[in-house]
Amino acid sequence: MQFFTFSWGNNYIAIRGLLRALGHELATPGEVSLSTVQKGTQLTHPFLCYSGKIVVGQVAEQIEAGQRNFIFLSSHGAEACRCADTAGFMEMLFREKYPDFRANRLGGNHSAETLATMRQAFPGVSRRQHDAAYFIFGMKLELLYWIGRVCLRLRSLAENADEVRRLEKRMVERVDRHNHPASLFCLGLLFRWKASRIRRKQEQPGIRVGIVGGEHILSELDAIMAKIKDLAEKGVYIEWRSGFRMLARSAAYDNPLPGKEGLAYMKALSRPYLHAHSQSSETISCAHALEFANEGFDGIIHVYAMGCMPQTSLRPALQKISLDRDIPILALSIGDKFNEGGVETRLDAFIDLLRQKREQKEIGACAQPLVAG
Amino acid sequence: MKTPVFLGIDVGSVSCKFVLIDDRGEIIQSMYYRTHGRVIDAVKRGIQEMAACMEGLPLGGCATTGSARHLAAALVGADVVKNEISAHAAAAIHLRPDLRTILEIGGEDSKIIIIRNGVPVDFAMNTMCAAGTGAFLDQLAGRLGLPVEQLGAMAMQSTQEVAIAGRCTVFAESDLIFMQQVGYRTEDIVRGLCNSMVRNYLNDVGKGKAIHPPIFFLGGVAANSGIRQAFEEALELPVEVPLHHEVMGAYGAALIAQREISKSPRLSGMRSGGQILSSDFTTDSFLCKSCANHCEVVVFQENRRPVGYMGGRCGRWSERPQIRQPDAVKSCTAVAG
Repeated sequence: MQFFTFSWGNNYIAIRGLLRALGHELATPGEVSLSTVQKGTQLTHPFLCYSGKIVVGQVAEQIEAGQRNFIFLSSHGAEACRCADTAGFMEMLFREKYPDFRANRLGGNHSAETLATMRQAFPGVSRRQHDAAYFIFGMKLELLYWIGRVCLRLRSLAENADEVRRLEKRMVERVDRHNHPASLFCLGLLFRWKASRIRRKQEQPGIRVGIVGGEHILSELDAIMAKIKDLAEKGVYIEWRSGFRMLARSAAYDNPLPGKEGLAYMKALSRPYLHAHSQSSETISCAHALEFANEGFDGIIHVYAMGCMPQTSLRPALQKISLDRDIPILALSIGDKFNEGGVETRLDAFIDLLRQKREQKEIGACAQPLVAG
Repeated sequence: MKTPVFLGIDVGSVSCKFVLIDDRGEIIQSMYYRTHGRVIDAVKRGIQEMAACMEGLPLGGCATTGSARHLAAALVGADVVKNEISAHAAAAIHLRPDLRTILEIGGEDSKIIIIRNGVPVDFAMNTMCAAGTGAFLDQLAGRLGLPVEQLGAMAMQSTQEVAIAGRCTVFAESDLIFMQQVGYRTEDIVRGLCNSMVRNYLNDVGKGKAIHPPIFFLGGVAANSGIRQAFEEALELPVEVPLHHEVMGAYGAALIAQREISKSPRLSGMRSGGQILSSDFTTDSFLCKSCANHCEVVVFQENRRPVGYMGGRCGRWSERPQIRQPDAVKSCTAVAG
């Protein structure tokens, strides 16, 4: 059976892997465009976050094209995100007008839930099939995340950025094509080897910048990420950290990722800056920001969707981190009122600021950084 | 032997500024005038007027800044292109090395720059709209039937504060009309406008920023003494408006050109005045159909040949405008179609 869903960057590839392991197929979502966002805005409240508008818009476009059989990976627990129960949200939006609209739900907060939701969508699925499907899902998520991160770093290190772009594109296509754990493992080895073969520049990048933010940056119209990739290709070393795959794996496997990859560690790390009941999205971003500060990065860019409550509520914490840890932080919000010239000016000025701060540190003076934006 | 001079050009949304400095960073000549939406004509006019001041002086370098910095750079052949935040900071710190805060309100944007130990460490730009900028004052001055240059002096004659919305120009205009109808003095209304603008600035751009003296107030709006007074009252700190407050971006660009050329000495690539003035430089735009976004892309053309592109979300058109080889021009034109 064929299903439909929204893209969420490249993460739909992992969901496709899960469905293929169960003998089903997932159609490739259409490209996100301005009209997708407009459609999403028309169907929801203007104050819904930008990512939510994209997601609703993509689903609406597919429904208008005649598709009805959808599948959504949702969480079920209390979250600060209004769209966390995506399947329920979509049912509320579309069921009345399209009575044959089916919003199959996958996911949950632990494996008993993920098994129960899978059996609702696919009756008769065994525990073994569930585990195998989620294993493929988890492997693909890890690979996609790893490829994205490494290629972003490589853009600043490589002599020829085109090589990196081609490598990233081909590897993502291969991850999508293969669905056996052994093949995916070999793909990982292949990627590692190919990445090591990319010719490096003689001069290594001076400025190191970390990117934190919600998973929303995966689904945006690739405008801010295009500008950030530009920066990398101009020699700024950029490292991106996100927590989506960690949340998804934690839910499916009951065993949260160990050590510094796990939510428990991140909660402990961010405790001085967030209240005890902060939800996952801001906890993860806060922890990543602290990690960047601890690792001696020159600056942090906080990219978040306009209207995203968890990420917006994180801003005061980031201001405090910036003061305490002596690290400038640039906040960039993405939305349908995106101003490309303004983003370019802010990024340019931020990199200038980091360079001058580094020069001054090398001279020996000390400056107190704050949150820019 | 004559020492070189350096030219800074700041092309903003409303006005165009030129500053010529000597090799010690002292201003030789400066110009400020409105573009009226015709950027290329404005830049050419500035070059023509500057040419007289530069007669016989060797040009060391040229830099552009402002929202149309790439277009201006393509037109004049600038050596350096720098964002306006860095440019304003460079000029302000040059004038006052112990400076700690820059408040800048321009035609359609506003910024705050925090400086510590001579280095910018934080900044913010207005994010939502142009309420609380020069455009705000222009529109409301028009509504009052006053030249915007007189607003400051009027505000200083106010004896009573009047509350006017500052978050949105439309709401502010509604309040202004109401105040006029009720019979408030124009001086008091103008002072209310100044206060609301400052309130908007501090609640948006200045939110969460540590504002410490010495403070510079820059931009064309700094000429309005009513706004300066409103800042001083709101911050309870002295606010200084330097002599060349309206051209600080261009001044900073010139200083940056001087520094860049000093670091790596080279001949300036700026085109001659004759070349710039005689060039048939135009802009056009098209919809890029490479994906479903259909972004509008601006083409810079010289003598009807594309020499650079700007715009688009994916970055394929984001190269800095520069003179291209014929092959590259052809391939870009093919993609544009």
